[in-house]
Amino acid sequence: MSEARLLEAARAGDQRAMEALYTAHSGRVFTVVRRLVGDDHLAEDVSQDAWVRAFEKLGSFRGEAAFGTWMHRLAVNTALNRLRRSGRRPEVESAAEPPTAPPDADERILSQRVLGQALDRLPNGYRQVLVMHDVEGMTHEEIADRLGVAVGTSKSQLHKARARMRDLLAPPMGRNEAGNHA
Amino acid sequence: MPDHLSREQIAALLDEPEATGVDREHLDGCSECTLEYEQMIRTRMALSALPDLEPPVDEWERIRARLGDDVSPIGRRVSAPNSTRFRPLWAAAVVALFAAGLGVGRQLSPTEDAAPDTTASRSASDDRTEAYLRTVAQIQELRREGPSGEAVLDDPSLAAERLMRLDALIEASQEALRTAPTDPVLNNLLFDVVDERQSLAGQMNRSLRYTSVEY
Repeated sequence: MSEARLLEAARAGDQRAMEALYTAHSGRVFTVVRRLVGDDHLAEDVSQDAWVRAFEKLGSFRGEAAFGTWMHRLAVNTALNRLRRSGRRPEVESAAEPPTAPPDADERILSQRVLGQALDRLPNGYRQVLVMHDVEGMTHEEIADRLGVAVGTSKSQLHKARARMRDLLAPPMGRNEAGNHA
Repeated sequence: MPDHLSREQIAALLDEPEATGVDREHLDGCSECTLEYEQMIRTRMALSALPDLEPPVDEWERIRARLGDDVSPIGRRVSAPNSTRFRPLWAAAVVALFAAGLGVGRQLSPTEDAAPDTTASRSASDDRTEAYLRTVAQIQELRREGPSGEAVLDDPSLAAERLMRLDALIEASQEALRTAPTDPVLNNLLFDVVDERQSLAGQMNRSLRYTSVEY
């Protein structure tokens, strides 16, 4: 069964075709949404919203890109819009959060769990740019376009986000805020 | 060396490996900053390799409810086996469903790119699409049935049953993919099931490790 045929059936209102499309792409959609919003409950809401919007707008999907690409873009936009509406503004210069507990000795190698926890603890603005660039592979131009900021702002946010991520994973020792020896 | 680069300065260098200037010169001559630079690269690589997450098990049902559907997508439910001795029968059922669905898929393939001709052939195509979608829905239902979620971790027998179900699905989907290697639904099903199995097995291993530490 080709995806084109599934899309055709889904456009005609066939719920089984919709479910097949959902099954094929739900993991990817939920993942990008969850990583962008940093919260399980909000991610569940946003992911559902994205899918409902997708099926409602399926008639406007013309197939210039793959369905997965279109759906991914719609999911990212839905997540960013929700964060904007809920007042979760980018916290560019927010006060430093307490660092994540240092990993156990046998977890020095970055585990997915530790990485995920650190991502969740990043301020929203940092997390969004870091996820879009370092996880999703988007360019600064794309990120700037989605967030409505300048390219330079996207770069600056990314560098701050990476630094904060390292602070959370390995609190600085013998190195002060400016990077100088303590 | 009196000063080191801040992590933010090092993060900026990550995107400019060819950059020159004071920061780059410092990095090239400072083992401590080089170590931090390498750690940052590792973090970035680990981030880009993060696996996909599992959506909530009832997400589709919620979406369907919001779309306003009140009709079961698969019609008849396939009853769930209630014993841990179900694997051969259950696996056979999955294989049979795949075979049925793929049989339909193979019949569909030659006509997919052809221009529509008669009402009769269009109707036959619709019937095959209907049958394929029903098969896919039944397979998805089979996957959802039985113990799942975090509850299985509290009961070793439930966890074992879930593992056997996943093994059966992996086996069946691999067999089906030999016939239809590009089917997107089958491919995604296989990836999802393998991910779930790895995650569950990892959690079970950790539980065992913690248990052994306690004793």
